[in-house]
Amino acid sequence: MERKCVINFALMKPFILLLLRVLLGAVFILAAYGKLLHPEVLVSTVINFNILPLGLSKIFAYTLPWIEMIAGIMLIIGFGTRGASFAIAWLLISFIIAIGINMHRGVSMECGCFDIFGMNEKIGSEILLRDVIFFLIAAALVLTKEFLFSVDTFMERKSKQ
Amino acid sequence: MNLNKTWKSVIGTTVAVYLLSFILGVAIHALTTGTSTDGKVILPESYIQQISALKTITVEDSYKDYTEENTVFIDARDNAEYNEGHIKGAINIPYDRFQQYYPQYEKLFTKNKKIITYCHGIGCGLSVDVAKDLIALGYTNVFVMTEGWPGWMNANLPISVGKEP
Repeated sequence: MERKCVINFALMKPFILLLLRVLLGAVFILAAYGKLLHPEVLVSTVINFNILPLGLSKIFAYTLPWIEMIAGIMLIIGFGTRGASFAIAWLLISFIIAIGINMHRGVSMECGCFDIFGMNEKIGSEILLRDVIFFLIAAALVLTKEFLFSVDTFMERKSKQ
Repeated sequence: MNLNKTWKSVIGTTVAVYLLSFILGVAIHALTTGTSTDGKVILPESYIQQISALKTITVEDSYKDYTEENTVFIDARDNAEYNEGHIKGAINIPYDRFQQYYPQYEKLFTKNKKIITYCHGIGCGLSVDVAKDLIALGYTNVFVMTEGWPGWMNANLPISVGKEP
């Protein structure tokens, strides 16, 4: 008798989503931490991107790390998970547009993505691809109805009891 | 109906995250400005290493040189950005086309002249690249105006749009 080892993706899906959720949350918390450590660098990076008018660039720079931090924590604990993923997805769209425009302009500049561990990346196709992958993960989470080990699921079950 | 309700809650959560972040960000900026860093700017390590090997100059000192008319300002950004606005009288040598642009401006760089390069401001390495290229050619009176175009613009100093005459 031949026995086939079949990986049941339907069974694994919630675990894969859990892994992706925690991964995306952790990435964004790390990104936020670096930005909060060096707020002045972030302001000059956003101005360097040369997309928004000066005043709006500053407001974006003050707000950005907090969106990343709050949404990242929400993803990890699984509270308002879909909304947090939606917030991150829009953020990633803005990153992709900003990096795309500056690559088109042919400008070499600091990405400002992770200002920790001495990381100092320049914008380029790898960064663009990474953001597209993160966007796809965020989009998948927005479309997910139930999350393993999450405050959302815990609260929903409690309200049904 | 049910789907609608779900999406309303998703969008509501997103808006709440954005609003809370905006309030936190602006409030913390307002509370910490002028106290935490005393106006000191913290920069990435690689930028610090590059810039510390060069001579730098503030916007204020650059303007003193500007009024004495013994200085050449070089905008290291690309043509489009230069045309959108630059320091009045500055020439444009995009950092990645130094070899192409240098010959036409060579006669401007006489021995006693000071050369100041600038680009998008603090953290921007384009002006550093142009300064290094000039130093490699033997120029010694080369400075990088680290606050760059934003610093000059914020100080309401003379600017010009489009090509220089």
